[in-house]
Amino acid sequence: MLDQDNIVLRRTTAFRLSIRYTIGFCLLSIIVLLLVYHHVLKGTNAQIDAGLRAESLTLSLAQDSLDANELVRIIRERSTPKSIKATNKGDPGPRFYLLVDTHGNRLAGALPQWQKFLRQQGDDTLTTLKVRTPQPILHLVEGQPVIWLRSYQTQLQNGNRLLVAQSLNEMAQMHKELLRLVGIVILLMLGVGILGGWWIGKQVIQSMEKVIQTADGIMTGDLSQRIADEPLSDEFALLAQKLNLMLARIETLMKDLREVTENVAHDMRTPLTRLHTHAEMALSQPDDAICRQALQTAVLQSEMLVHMLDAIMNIAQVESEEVISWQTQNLSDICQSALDLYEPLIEDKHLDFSCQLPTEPLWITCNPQLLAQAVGNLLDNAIKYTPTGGCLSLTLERRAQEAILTLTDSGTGIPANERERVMQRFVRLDNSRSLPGNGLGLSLVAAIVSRHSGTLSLDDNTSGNGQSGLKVTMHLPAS
Amino acid sequence: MHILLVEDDEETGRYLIDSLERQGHRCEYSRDGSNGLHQARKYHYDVMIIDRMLPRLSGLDLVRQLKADGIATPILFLTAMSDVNNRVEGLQAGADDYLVKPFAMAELLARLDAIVRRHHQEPGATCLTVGDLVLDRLTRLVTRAGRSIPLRTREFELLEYLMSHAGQIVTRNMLLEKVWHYHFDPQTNIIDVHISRLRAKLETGNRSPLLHTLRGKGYSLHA
Repeated sequence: MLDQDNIVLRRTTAFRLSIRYTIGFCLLSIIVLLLVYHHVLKGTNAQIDAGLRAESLTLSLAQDSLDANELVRIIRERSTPKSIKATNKGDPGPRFYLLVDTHGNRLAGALPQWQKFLRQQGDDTLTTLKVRTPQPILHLVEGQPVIWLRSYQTQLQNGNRLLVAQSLNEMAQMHKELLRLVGIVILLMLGVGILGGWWIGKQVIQSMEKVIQTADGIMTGDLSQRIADEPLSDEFALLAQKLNLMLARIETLMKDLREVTENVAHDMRTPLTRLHTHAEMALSQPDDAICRQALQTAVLQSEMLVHMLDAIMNIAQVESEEVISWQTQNLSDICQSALDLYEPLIEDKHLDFSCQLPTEPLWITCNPQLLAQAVGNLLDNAIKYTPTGGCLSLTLERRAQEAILTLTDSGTGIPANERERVMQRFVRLDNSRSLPGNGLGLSLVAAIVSRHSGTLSLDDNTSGNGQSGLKVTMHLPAS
Repeated sequence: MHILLVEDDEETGRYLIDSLERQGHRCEYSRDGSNGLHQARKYHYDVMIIDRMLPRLSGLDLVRQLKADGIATPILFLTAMSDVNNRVEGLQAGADDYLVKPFAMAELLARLDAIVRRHHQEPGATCLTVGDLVLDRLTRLVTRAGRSIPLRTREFELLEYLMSHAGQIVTRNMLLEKVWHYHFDPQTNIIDVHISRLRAKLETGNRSPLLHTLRGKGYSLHA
C-alpha cells in the first residue's frame, strides 16, 4: 500500500516509466552496437586476408622475375626485428615471412614456430594459429608471449613455399577497445536514464505533495483548504486549478446543504410544535367536539409538513442530475393549461388580466410536468401578492432561439437587494409571512428553469400606469 | 370487497386493514412480495393494494409478474416516492392507479372505488346521465332538465369525469391528475374554486344540489 504521506520514489509512475524506457533503449542500443561490431570485425578480417594474399602474390611474382636468392634476400631484409617492428602507420600489425624449400628446410624468414604452420597448413589457404613467440620477437608484439597469427601459404614455381603471416593481436586489442567503449556508452545511458527517472519522479512528488497535503487537510474537515497556486502553467498547475475549482464547488454545495438542513429543521419546528400541542390538547379534552377540532388541526399541520418535505425533495430531484423524461411540447399549451387552472382565482380577485400567447406553436424540449409546475407557481405567487383589482399580464414570445415568458403584476414587488435571495430555499420576505406558503415556490421555479438550461430574472414592473410591481422573466431555449 | 394488501410496514398495514374492514371490506394481508404473489395466484380478489418497496420481491416486479400471469384484478400502487418518474413506472408496470405516501384514508378509499368501478364498467357510453343532468360526449352539450348549460372546455372535462364517477367520492388530487393531467400538488384551494363555479352553473335556478363537497374527503356527484 502506498503511504499517503510519503510517496516512495521508486514507486512513482514517472520513475518506473523512465527506468522501463531506459532499459528498453539500452537493449536496443546493445543490439545495434553488436551488429556494428560484428560488421567491423568481418570487414577488418577480410582486409587482413586480402592484404596477406596480395603480399604473397607480389612476392611470388617477384620470385618469378628475379632469381631465387633475390627473394631470400628480400625476406631476410623484412624479417629483421627492426623491419618487423617498422610497420607503417595504419597497418593492422607486424607481418612475418617464411621461405622453405621443397624439403621443408627454412631458407629465410622469422615466423615463430614455423614448423607448426608447415604441418597444419595447406597451399593457397588461410589459417589462424596461436603461437608462443620466441624471445627476440617477444618485445615486438606488445610483450605478449602468446600471439594469434593469420597466415597464408603459397607454393612458388620452383617448389619452394612462401608463408606470409599477420599478427592479429593489435586487431584484437582494437576490438577489445571497441567493446569497452560500447560498455561505457551503455552504462552511461543507464545512468542518465535512472538519474532522469529519479529527477522526474522527484519533480512529480514535489508537485503532488501539495495536492496530498491539501487533501489531508480536507479529510480532517477543513473544506476551505486549497492547493497552492503555481506560476507555471504546466499540467500539474492545471490539475491544481481544476481541483481547486472542484473544491470550491463542493464547499458551496456543503454550505448550501448545511443551510438547507438548518432551515428545514427550523421550519419544521413550527408545524411540529403545533401538531404536538394539538395532539396533547386532544388527549386532555373530555369534550368530544373540541377534541375532534384539535385533531383536525393536528392533521392539517402534518399535511403541511408532508407538503414541505415533498417540495424539498422536488427541488432536490430537479437540481440533481437524475434522469427526467424530456418531451417536445408547445409552451403556449403549457401556459394555457396553467392559466385554465388559475383563471377562477384571477377572476375572483377581479384582476385586470391580459394574456399574449404567440399564434404559432412555440416548441421547446422540456419536462411538461415540471414546466407546468413552474408556470403555475409563478402565477400563484403573482395572484397571491397582487391586491384585489390589480393588474396581471402574461406574455409569451419567441425571440431568435429563445422562448421568453414574462409575467408582470401590480403587487408589492420585491426590493432589488432581495431578488437574489428570494430564489433560495425557505426565504420569505417579511411582508409575506402572513400569507400561506413555505418559501420554496420560487426556489423550485429557479431549479426547474435552470434544469431546462434557461434563466429566471426578477425586475421592477415599470410598464403600465406608474404602478410598481414585479416582473418575472423566464428565458428558455426553444427547439 | 375482497382486498389483498401487500405492505411491509406492519403498523401501516394494521391501520389500513382496520380502516378497510370498518368500511365493510374483507382483507388479506401479505408482508412481502413473494408471499403476495402466492396469495394473488391462489385466490380471487376484487382489488389489490401493493406497496412499492417490498422485501423479497419489489412491488414493481410483483405487479409485472401478476400482469404477465394474466391476472386482471385492478391494482392500486402505493409509493413513498413522489417524483414523476416513479409514478410513471408503477403505471407502466400495469398498476391502475397510484397513491403517494402519506395519504388520507379518504383518498385511498376514493381511488379504490374508482379503479374497481372502472374495471366493471363498459367504457365509451356517449351519454352520461345523473338525475336530470345529461352530458353528451359527442355533441359536448350539457343539459339539466332539458335546459342547456354552457360550459367551458375545462369545466366540461371536469363534469365529464365527475359524471363518469357518479356516486363515488372523487378527491382533489384525482381531479388534478385526470382533468388537468398534473401530477403535482399546486397546494392551493384552486380545485375548490373550480368546483364551486361548476356547482353554480349546475344549480342555477334553485335546482336541487348535485355536486356535493364532503369535508376532508372530496367531492361526489349524485342526485
